[in-house]
Amino acid sequence: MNLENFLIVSAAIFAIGLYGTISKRNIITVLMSIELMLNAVNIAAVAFSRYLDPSLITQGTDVTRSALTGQIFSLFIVTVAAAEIALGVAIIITVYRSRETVFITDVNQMRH
Amino acid sequence: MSLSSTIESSVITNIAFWVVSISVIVSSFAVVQIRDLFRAALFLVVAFIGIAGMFVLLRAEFLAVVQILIYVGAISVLIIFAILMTRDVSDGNPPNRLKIPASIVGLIFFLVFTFVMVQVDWNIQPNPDPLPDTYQEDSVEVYTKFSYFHVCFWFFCDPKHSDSESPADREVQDDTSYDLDEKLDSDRDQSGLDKIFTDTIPSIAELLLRDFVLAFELVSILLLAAMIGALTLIREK
Repeated sequence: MNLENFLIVSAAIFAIGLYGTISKRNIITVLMSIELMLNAVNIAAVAFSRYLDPSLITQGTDVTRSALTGQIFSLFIVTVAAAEIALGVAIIITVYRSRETVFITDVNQMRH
Repeated sequence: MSLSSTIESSVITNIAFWVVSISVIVSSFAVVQIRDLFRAALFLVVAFIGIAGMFVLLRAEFLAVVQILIYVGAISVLIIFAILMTRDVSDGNPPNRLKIPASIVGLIFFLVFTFVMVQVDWNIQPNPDPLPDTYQEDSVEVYTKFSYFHVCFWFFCDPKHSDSESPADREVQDDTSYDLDEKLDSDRDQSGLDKIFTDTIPSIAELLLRDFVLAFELVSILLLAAMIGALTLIREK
């Protein structure tokens, strides 16, 4: 259990989320894949702040700040993800009301 | 302290790491592959809980609790709500015509990142837990010593609280009034970063309200705007 293990797990989750975001037709699956990608980034940030040597960044002045900055980043990412999912669900429901579909390949009236 | 390091890097935490990571990867793969959307959302919940477990393994107990509260409690409920609202047209979870290029892109991404992460020489802390004596500086300020989250999550893995504490420390912990000088004096016997990762919540609060206060306020404005935007979007005309 060291830094590389966590980073590889994070990369795997991010790759799965990337695949789902690109390749799926249902917009709810796309939203879930985006959530997976954000969570993978959270894991990477927290693992970096846990394992990297903060005295090399700060020259030993403020160890607390650099040792916990990754967790603060993850907190902000979680907040932005919450806002994004609220807006995403609102958009899904609006599109479903007006066009009776949740497939992103069917919502293409801007192409014609 | 050496006892805690030997236990923390022991077989048990390694097994926990592998179990958690394999379950997270398998369930997130199920999220994108299962045809039934409702089951995909349930696997997403499993993946979120596993990621909270990874936060616990990384000593970010506060983030683990936040993960459970926000992702498992709120976001998955919203997603399931959206699935149920649009259920009558959702005939499964079909891929579009980009399936094979998307899988190639994902695989290349994973391989390149794994290669980079293994190759780069990271500036790892010499001994992540506990930390060497060079961190015993008086400038590190951690105000409180006792954390219920810490006790909840690390009770079985971290015997530091039960074994190596003098009765004087225990008196300081049980005192609910915040006498800052007393706490700082009692904190100086532990090294800095080990102390930080023992008890992250006061430091996170301090960082959020002092160093990152502008981002904190901006994020609250963002949440307000998102709430108003969502209400405006789904309002009946």
